[in-house]
Parts: sequence; C-alpha cells; structure tokens
Amino acid sequence: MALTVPGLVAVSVLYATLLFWVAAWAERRAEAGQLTWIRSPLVYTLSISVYCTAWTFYGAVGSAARSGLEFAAIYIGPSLVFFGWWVLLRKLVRIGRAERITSIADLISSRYGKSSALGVLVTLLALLASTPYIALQLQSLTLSFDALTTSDGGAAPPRTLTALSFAAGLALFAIFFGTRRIDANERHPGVVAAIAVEAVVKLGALLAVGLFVVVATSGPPLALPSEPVFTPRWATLTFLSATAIICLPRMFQVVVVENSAERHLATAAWAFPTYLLLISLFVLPIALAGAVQLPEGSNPDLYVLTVPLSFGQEGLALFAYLGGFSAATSMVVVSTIALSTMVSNHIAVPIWLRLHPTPSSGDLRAAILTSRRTAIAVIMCFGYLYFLQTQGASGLASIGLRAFAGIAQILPALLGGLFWHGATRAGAISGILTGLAVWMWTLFLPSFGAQFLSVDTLADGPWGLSMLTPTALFGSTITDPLVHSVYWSLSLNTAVFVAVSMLSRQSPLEQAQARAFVDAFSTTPARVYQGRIATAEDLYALAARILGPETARRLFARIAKAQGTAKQLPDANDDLILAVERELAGSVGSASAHALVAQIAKGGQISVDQMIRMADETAQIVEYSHRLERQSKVLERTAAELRTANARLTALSAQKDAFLSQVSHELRTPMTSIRAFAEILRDHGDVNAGDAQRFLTIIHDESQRLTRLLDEILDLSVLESGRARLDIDTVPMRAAIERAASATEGLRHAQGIRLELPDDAGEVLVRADINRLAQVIINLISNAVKYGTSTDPNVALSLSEREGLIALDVIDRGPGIPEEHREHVFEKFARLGEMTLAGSAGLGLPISRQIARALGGDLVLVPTEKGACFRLTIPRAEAAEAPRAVGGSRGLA
Amino acid sequence: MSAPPSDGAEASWLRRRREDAAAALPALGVLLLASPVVDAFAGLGVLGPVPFGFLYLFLAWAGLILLTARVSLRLSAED
Repeated sequence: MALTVPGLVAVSVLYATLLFWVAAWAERRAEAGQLTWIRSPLVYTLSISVYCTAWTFYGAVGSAARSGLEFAAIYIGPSLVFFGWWVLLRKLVRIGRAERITSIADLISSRYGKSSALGVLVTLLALLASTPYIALQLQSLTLSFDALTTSDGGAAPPRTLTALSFAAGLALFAIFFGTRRIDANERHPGVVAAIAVEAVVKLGALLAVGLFVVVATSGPPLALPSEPVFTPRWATLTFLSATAIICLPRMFQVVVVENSAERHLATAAWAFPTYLLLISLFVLPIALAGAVQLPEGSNPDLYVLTVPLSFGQEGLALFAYLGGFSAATSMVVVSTIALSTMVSNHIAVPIWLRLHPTPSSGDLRAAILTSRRTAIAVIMCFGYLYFLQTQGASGLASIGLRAFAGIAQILPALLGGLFWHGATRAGAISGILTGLAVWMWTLFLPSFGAQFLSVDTLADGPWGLSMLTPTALFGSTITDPLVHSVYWSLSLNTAVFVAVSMLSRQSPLEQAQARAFVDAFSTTPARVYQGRIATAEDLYALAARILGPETARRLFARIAKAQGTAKQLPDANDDLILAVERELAGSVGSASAHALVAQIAKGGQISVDQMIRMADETAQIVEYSHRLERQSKVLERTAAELRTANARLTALSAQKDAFLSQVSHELRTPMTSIRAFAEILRDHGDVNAGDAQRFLTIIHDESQRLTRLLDEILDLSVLESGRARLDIDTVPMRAAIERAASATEGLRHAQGIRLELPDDAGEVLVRADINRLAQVIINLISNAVKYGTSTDPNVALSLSEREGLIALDVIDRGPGIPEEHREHVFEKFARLGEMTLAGSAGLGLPISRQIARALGGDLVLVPTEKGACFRLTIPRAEAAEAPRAVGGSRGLA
Repeated sequence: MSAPPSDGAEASWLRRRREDAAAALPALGVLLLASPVVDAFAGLGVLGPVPFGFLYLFLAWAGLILLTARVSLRLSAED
C-alpha cells in the first residue's frame, strides 16, 4: 500500500486540526483562568523543545551520515546552557519578568536605555537570520512530503505548490493563535500547548524509528570515521548552538517570555537536556542503517523516512513524517509570532507614533494587531521566496548553522548587558553592526554562490584586496567557512563592543537600566526617579487605548488600592507613570512604551545634579527617621522603668500600711493593760499592798515590753535602711555561742530545756560583729525554747562549713513549721498559729535575718523531718587573723 | 557529606556551596563534552559494536544531567 497524495494531505490536515483543537482548548482554559496543566514545568520543558526543528529531525541524521558524531555538538551546546541555568537563564527570566520583556530585541533595547535604534537593529538582524531558517522548514516539509508520496514511483505535486500550501497553513495558525489579542505579558497558552503536543510526537517518532532500526537490523556496527571528534568545528558548533538557545527569537520567546514561574527553570535544567539526549540517541544508528540499507546516492537528510520505507514499514514512516511535520510547524509558528512581535513593537509602533503625534488620535490597538498579522504573512512570504531561491541547495544543517552564526552577533551585547554595568548603547550598536557586516561578508553572501558577489571577489577579495577575501579574511587559513566566519565576526564584534563602550558615556536612563539588569538579583530593586509629570486621566486613556478598557480599569484600581486612596483614579505620581509604562512595555515593548508615555508626560529629562540632590534629600529623610526611631526607643525604655518603679512603690506603700496597723495593734495590748492597772490604783484607794505591788509589777513588765518592742522596731528600721553600724572583726564562733547560752540560761531553766553545744566550736573563726552575732543566736535559741515544746525539749546547735561560709544550725524537737509557713516566719509580726508568747512581738526572726544578711551571710529555715532547723551562715575568717578581745554584750532580744 | 545543618551559619554555607556547584556545572560540562577530553576517549576504539567515543559522549552527558537534576532540585526546594 502506497501513501497517496490525497491520503497524505488528509493525514496532514487531520493532524493540523488536532493541533488547532488543542490550541483552542488551551486558550479557552486560559480565558477561564484554569491554567494549572499548561503552566507546569513539564509543558514548559516540552515547549523549549521547539529548538528541535525539522533540521534536527531530518538534518541530524544527515549530518551523522556525513560526519559521524559531529551532530551531537548541536545538542550539547544547549545542554551546557541549561546545566548553567543558575547563572544565565535564571537572570534572563528574572529580568524578563521584572521588565516585562517581550522579545530578544526588546531585551537589548531595554537594557541600553530603551533605545529604539537597537530594537530596530536586532529585529532586522533576527529577520535576516530567521528567513533562511523558515525556508529550511518549508524545504524539509516539502522533501518529506515528496519522499513519502513517491516511495512507490508515484508522482508528487510540484514542490513549489506543496511549499506554498504549508506556508499558508502555518501563517494561518500563527495569526490565529499568536495574534488573537494583545496580551499584557505576550504569552500564548494555545501555542504553547500545541507545541508541547508536537514535542511529544516528534520525540516519539524518532525513538520509534530508532528502536525499529536497532531491532530490525539487530544493531548494525556503529562504524565511525576515525578522525578526532573535538575539532575547531566541534567547538564552534557547540558554541553556536549554545548561543542559539538564548539568542534565537523563538527560543527567547519560549524560554523567557512564555515562562510563567522561575522555578520551572530548575526542572527544565535537567529535563530539557534529557529530551535532547533522547532525541539524539538513535541518530547515529539510523544514519548507519541508512548507509547500509539504501542505494548509493540516497539523500541522507531523509533517512528517517526512507529507512522505514525500505523495510516496508509505511505506518512507521507516516509516524516519522508527522514527527518531522511537528518539528517544522512548531518552529515556524513560534518563530513568526516572535518575529512579528518584534516587528510590530520596534518598527510598526514607532512609525505609527510618528504618524500620530497627538496622544489620543487613532486606534493603536488595532494598528498593533494588524501590523503583527501583516508581519507574520510577510515573514512567511520571505521564507517562501528564499525557499524558491535556494531550492535543492546545500544540506539542511548548513542553512541552520548560517542562521545561528547570524543571530550569535547579539551575544556580546547581551552578555555585556547582563553582567557589565559599563556596557553602553553606542558600544552595543557598533558591535552588532560590525559583527553583522563580517557575518554577511564571510558567510551569508557567499552562501548564494556568485549571485551577489562576483567570482573574482569570492576568490581574491574585492578589487583584488586579498586581505578582504570573504573566506580568508586577513589572510587567515581557516578552511571551514563556518568556523572562519564565526571566529572573525564574533571576535571583531566583541572587540568593537568593548572598545566603544569604554569610550562612550551612558545617559541617566541607560545607567538606571544597566543597574536594573546587572543587579537583577539585588534585594533593593534599582528604581530611578525620572521626575515626569502626567495626569492620571491621560495615563488611564493611554492604558485603555493599548491594554483595553477592562485591563486598564483593573490596573488602575489595583494601583489606587495600593496607594490607599478612596478615589477611583490613583494619584498621578512617578510610581503610577512607571507602572503604566511597565504594563505597556509588556504589550508594545519597552522603547515604544517609553515613547508613548513620553507623549503625555512632561519633564523626564533628569540631570546627574538633580539625581544627586534627590539622593541627598533621601539620605536626610532616612537619617531623620533613624533619629526618630532611636528617640522613641529611649522613651519606651524610660516608660518601662517608670512602670516598674511605680509598681514597686505601690507594693511598698501597702507593706507600710500593713506594718503600721500591726505595730499599733501590738502597742495597744500592753498599753491597755497598763492603763487598766493604773486606773485601778488611782480609783480604788483600798487596794491592799500585796495587790498594789502585783499591779505595779505588771505595769512595769508591760512598759518594759513596750520599750523592747519600740527598740526592736527602731533596730529593724535601721537594719532595713542599711544604716546599721556594724563593728566587723574576726570572731571565734565559740565566744558568740557561749554568750548566747548564758544570756538564755534563765529562760531555759524556766522551761527545763537543755542546750546541746557543738564540740568543735573552739577553732572556728568568722568575720562578724560579735554583739550582733550573739543577738541572732540568742534570738534563735529563745525561739527554739518558746516553740520547741515537746516531750524531749532539747535544743541542739551544730556547726558545719558550706561554700566558704560557716553554718550554725539551731535545731529543736518541737512540732516543726509547716512548709507553707517557711518563708512566712521571716515576715514582721508573723506568728505561727495562735501561739502568742510573752515578750515576742514577732520581730525576732526578721531582725535576725537582716543582721545575718548585713554580715554577708543569711538566715534560712532548713526543711527537716521533725522539729525546726534554722541555719545561720556567716563568712569564715582566715585563721591568720588573730581574734580580738571580745567586749561587753549588748543583747537586744 | 558533612553533618546536617545545626544552625543558620551552617545552613547558609551549605546553600552557598550548592549555588557554587550550580554555577560550576557548565564549566564541568565544557571540560567533559567540549574539550580534547572527548578525543581521549574516542581514540580508545570500540567496545563490542559500539564506538568508545559514542559511549563516552552519551554517558558523560547523562551523568551531567543527573548531577544538574540533583543540584537544581535541592536549590529549588530551598526557595
């Protein structure tokens, strides 16, 4: 069964319809806001495979058949760029999103001060380089169509007609899905979805043919030419293909413009090289099978089709045809869309603006769409004409490489623009013009044979100037014309670019753009104040004219909301002008957007002096706000301190009130008793002498108790205020204990309590005031005697040393103190339970603790199982210090 | 491999090292795939029916892909 012309046409049309349907479906989903599937890293990666054109599909096998492994260089170059995505592609995508870049021409123009001249130059260069490339796709399509329909000796339709039909169909598709509307970001979900499907088809087709070849021929020996693989040509091809993946308009379109999230790059970084590896895996086996299987003189560029046909596998050949069809159509569609955007933004819109100098005249939106549609048609016509011109000329690969070498002339200006602050517009223009001229002279024009250059010029240079011979510039002996041309064009291009950049100066806008590009990853975005003035109404009218009323309304509502104004239109400040310009740049390119805004915005020329002045003002404002911040911090701290002080005062006042009421209560009891007995003695003369004596004793005791109480209160207040005079000296502990023992002897006798003294008190020396120390011990012993009532009423004293302090434990065998009262006992007038004992106003323990602390020690209640244990700690004295003679006692308690 | 990041300084050091690795990958790629290293392997002749050059090229390529996948997945996981 042979494939007939109508049959193949039907299959092609069916497949094209499927692509139309996929694109339309994706567009509908996009309009409904459901883009999850299309905006995935996978689809992004597949869309980048638009790099693999028909040249790859058919031409790689041809190249492998002619020169072995060389074909792989075309895939290795782009792989290397993707391996290094972190350095270059990430920056491109970041800038592309921040600056709303619409094309490679827009990128270059925007970087060099939104220069329209550079935009036009790059656009023309891209057109010049892409036309042969598009012709190449038409040629592949036509040849593959021919190969299938003539496989059984049938007649094919005239090639010119086939090519024309393909060109018309592709133009329709590109116009339909590439220029439906003016998108704010120049993204085309329909086209991306369609080329993702085509990417799968072309990979599947090549893998199918490859696997079939390996199985059917049971692996033919992979004989390779024994020449070295790494040659100047290998290096040149790798370099050119690496350049192409960023500089070709269609590659820039899919990699940068259609990128919807930076993180997709991280996936594409390995997924796209994997795609390339898979698509080139079987190239060599197919080429070798073709050389074995097919008669001498067969076109190796068509082995992908003719090898399956030679095995009678028409289904497989048809699949391969669809793969090639996919490769060619996706390339042509994306290329024409990218080129038409460039043409409309950098050529048509500036011309239109020249014709409509007043801001509101004319329908710019319609003009842009029309110019893009026309551009697509015209580019396709150029491609078709080029195809007619060069029909059947050189192999597919060499046409593609010629295009690569042409577009690579952008590279120095591009890389310089991304990584060098000092690259200037003049440098970029002169570099590109130099490279373009050398490329045309050494590669592009000679490719037409003697059509444009005379035979003499080609052989010996113009007017006999052998230095300028196209294929041997400056007498160089590089034999490969591609290597020769790439070497000279790019080195001269770079040299001129760098030299002129160093000799020229940047405009303020250029400086601002250079910062925005080179420092794209800095945290503070380089924003330049341009001092332009426009009314919000004018800006709105402009945005509505280009973006459409609905988009413009949304944009202004968003900005107004961000500004926080209640009005419908935001305030017309510099930010608004910048925002509108950026949105417009997403549709018409940065240079045209800048020109459009310039039509309605006054001012905008800003001198370096003005910039310095504004920087000074900003610095002052920053300094002022820093000062305010510091002052407010100081105030905050002071307020916090005041709050704590106030809280402390309130607590102290409450304590004082409680103390006073307690003191009056304590004083009142003896006073009442004194008054009562005094009244009896005064009013009743008949009191007998014995009673009178008893009453007077009570009055005397009570007044003594009052005096003691007042003494204690005074003592405590002196101790608490820290004004107590302490006579610190080295004191033997024994002296203090003995003094306390004798002072409490009477009390102990009355209660029948024995005191157990420590045995080792003799040698221990402490630093203390002996009177105060004895006072504390007396207090503790009295307490123990008073509260330690039990069947075994003994009080034990023991000495120990802890952390450089001497600890004296006073232990009774009484009921002990419940845990909840442990701290309570040191409060003034605290008494445990209802046991109020004569002579104690509850100030003994607080005074003792104050004394212990004043001496540098402490008094604590140690938890015990039975009874109470008070621990007094006093700093230890060095043994060398001789004890001083102990003076008289002045016990208070 | 070094110890897991214990503090901020360690984490940022690891991050910087990954970024450096990502930047160094294309250089390694050039060394392996676009330098006379290719010839050193291509000159080894054939291994069964497959030429050494072919084998080396695709294996080095695949190795670089795996390396890039590892580095970029880690880098993007941190973002």
